[in-house]
Amino acid sequence: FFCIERFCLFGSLLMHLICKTALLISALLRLESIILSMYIALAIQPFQVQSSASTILLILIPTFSGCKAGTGLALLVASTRTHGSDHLHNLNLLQC
Amino acid sequence: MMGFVLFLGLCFVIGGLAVASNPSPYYGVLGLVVAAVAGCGWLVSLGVSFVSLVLVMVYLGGMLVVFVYSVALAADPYPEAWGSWGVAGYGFGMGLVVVVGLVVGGVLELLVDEGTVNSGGLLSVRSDFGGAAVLYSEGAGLLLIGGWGLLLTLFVVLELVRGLSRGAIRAV
Repeated sequence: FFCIERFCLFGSLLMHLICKTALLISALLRLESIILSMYIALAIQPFQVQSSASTILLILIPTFSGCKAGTGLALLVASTRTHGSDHLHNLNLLQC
Repeated sequence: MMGFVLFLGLCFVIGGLAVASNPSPYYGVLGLVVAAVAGCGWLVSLGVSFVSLVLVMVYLGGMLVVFVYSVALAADPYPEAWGSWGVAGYGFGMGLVVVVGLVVGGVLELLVDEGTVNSGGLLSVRSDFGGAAVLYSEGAGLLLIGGWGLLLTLFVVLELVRGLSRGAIRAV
């Protein structure tokens, strides 16, 4: 019962929902769940080949996703200091 | 035993749906914690316990703690949970997408046989430990690049939070 494609599907539906949310922190949570499902899919994948080289990537992925989460939270704090909340319609400097 | 593995997989999908349907961030963090714990349990049941411990320590112990504190900062006074119609509609729609994905995956026969992670009889080291050892011995450059990236992120975060009236987001 290990469907690798299920995880990719999971990631894609969550990626859809980043666009349609009202709060920046909800978008960050969905990014984290995309990364989690990608991580578990990568951890399950080398079972047929029995290769041990993919553990390197499985240590580096939480590292860089922690960097991304930290930067996203710094943007959240900056938006809260400027606009008072983190609603995504406050970030509207690009006006066509 | 097989039933336990299926239950953990179900908990993972339910946690992911809890994040994907559009509740208040309080409940989104709860769903993410449930999904991460279920994913770690699933990896332990497959045998890759080192990878599962890395996930628990870095993801749950590091990043989700910081997320919980930040959710306490960015708060709604009236959080909408799964009782409201918008959230239930999102959850049902995403559940439908997951079921369709499962059916398509089953039809295309992409199910992998259950196997263990002990390496093929020739090495005395389990395969996930061996991979981590490669990172520290031959992949030392990658380790240094990762460390440099973390240091750079520290300064990026400091500058984003500190900068007064510099850049587009701190225009006040």
